[in-house]
Amino acid sequence: MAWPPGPFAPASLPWLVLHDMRVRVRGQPGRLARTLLILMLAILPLVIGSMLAWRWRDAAMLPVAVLGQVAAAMAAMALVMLSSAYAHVLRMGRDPGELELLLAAPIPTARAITMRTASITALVALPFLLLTTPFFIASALLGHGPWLAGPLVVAAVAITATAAALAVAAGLDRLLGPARARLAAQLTGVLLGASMFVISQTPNFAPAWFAARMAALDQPLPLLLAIPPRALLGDPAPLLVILALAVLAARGAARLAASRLEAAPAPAINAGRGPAARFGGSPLAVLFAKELRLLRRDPELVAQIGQQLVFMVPIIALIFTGGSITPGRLAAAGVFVSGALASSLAWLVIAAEDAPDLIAAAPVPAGQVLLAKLGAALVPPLLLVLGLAALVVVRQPLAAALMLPMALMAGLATAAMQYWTRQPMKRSAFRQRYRSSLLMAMGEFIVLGSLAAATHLALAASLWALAAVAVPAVLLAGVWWFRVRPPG
Amino acid sequence: MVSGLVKGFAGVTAVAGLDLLVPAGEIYALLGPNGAGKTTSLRMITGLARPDAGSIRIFGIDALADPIAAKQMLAWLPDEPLLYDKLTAAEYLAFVAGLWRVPAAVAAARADDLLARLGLAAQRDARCEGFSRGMKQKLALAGALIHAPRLLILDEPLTGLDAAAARVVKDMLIEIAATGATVIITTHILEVAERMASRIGIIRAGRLVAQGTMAELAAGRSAGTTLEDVFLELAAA
Repeated sequence: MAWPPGPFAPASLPWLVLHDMRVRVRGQPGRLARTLLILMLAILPLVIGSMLAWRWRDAAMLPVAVLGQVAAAMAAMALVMLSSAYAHVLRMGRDPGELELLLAAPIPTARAITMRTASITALVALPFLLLTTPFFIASALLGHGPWLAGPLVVAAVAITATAAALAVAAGLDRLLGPARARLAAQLTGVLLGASMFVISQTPNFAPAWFAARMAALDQPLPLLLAIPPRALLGDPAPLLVILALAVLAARGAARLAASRLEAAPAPAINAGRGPAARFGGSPLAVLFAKELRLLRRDPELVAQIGQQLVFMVPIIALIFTGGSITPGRLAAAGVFVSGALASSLAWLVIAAEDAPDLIAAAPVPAGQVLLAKLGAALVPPLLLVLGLAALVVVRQPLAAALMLPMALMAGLATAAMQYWTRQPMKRSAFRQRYRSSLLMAMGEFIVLGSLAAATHLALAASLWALAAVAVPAVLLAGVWWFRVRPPG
Repeated sequence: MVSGLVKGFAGVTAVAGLDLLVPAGEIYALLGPNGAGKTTSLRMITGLARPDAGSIRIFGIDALADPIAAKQMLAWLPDEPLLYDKLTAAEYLAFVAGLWRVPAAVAAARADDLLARLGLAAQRDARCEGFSRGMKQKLALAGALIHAPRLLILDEPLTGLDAAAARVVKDMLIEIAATGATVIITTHILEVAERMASRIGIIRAGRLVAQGTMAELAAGRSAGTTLEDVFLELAAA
């Protein structure tokens, strides 16, 4: 069977791009889910795009009054594209075997590199093209012919976003050196992803600010800011500017990708003599120190965990709406966040143990191993909660006092769920850990939500708090009943 | 000493009554075709899997009744070295030493010695993520030796090693046995078993079908019989 299936000649650029995209898409949802997703992505934009095109059928060819809104939508799209491209760029060169295969194949090196950037651009652009193209085509059919430039501009923005992502990564490499750049790059990725999410939530937690910004969009745009929306709607001169920029960006992207791939080989193994390696104390202390050291040294994991926490910002920000902080809500949010963090860390130290045989063969009782791992999973979230408690204690000491045991309970509950349902996986599968078990993800959400609600209800002296605690207790009992038994 | 060891998985018997007696100071090679039950047997001796039946005594200690005491005396090197990518070589050895409660000063001295002998001194403070397969194998072996085990169990210890490194490892194992420690290895390189092992056991379908010195195994066969001949005859029978 030909791989990848398609009409393109083997080793040609489109063939390579198709291969790369298929490889990257693999491991995503299963066949049925993927088919449904594709159907939805194909049908929904068609319906909505046609409806929108019909609604705007009488609009001017270049509706100057809405240019601000179009520009804002394009800025949001560019930010999402940049974030997505950045994530792909970070993964670029992380598969040295695959890269070596490509570079060792009898194809020009430039083609392999162009393939990588083209594949990133395609992956970045595809969702937006799927979403917007039906609208542009329907609009053209209803008389807005120049709007057919839309998909071209969307692709141009994707190319520019890819180049910008590569430029950021290359800049960090040069400024900080490869090792520090990795951490900085991960944190930049977190900031990009998180900023998008926080911006998307502003109508919820800062409605007044959001309304003011939206009103500002009705004002005439400065010349430079008007170029992208004008290009999108087919204004010839701005369109040419955007396309020229995209061509330049594509060339720059290929050059940056080449330098990044060349700099990508395996990590240096000749290090200078570093500080003394110490793992002192009892086996329990040794295991605990090992877990914390491994967590600290994995910038990607730190970034992913950080991202999860940043995503909680809007939840916490909701507490500040209405001009008053509710300590009870903050305590509840703290319980939820610390439980979620404990779950992530518990997965890392329990399911993603790199050398399970070594630990199992060591003369350390299984109980001590578990205790050390639980400790490593619970200490960081409890430190986080202590910080929150310091904020809350000023307004409502009881909330702070209740938050600590409830956070501990939430952490223990999620860690126990991770332990009882553990399946050995690689640390690199951190992002996909819930993919195999939607039930587990839902169960964890219910447990954390219930414990957070219980905290809030207890502070309000409501007896319903008991019911809220009973829910996770029942659920945990169920998970325990179906727990993974150690192999005989 | 292993007696009547039995282990099954989902109705399939992997080890069917294995008896094994390996005295101190001996290098014992356990050979067998793929799926014969070698690794399962070794994992049971190491305490990584619990037998369905049988007993395991390690230097007089009932390994099933007191696994911690038994583990304190043994080291296990799996065929696939599993290290921590984010730890340096020195840190990995310090970590293993910590698990076996080796005093820090002793561990540091042993680590330096082992890393030097295995040609990893220059990578002492490098993280394992950049190591080649052979370097990982050598570091895992160093980890197995850091606590001076009395029983060393190695599953394909020479995999991934170049000729020079393999020679160093073989010499080290012979030295370790000379100090009175017991070494049990599995290998598919029959020449290694023939040259290194004091005695050789051949396992097939979870049972020990032959064991002895090379001379004992070749007895009754034509002159010039090699281990390969014996192995192919017994393993394929």
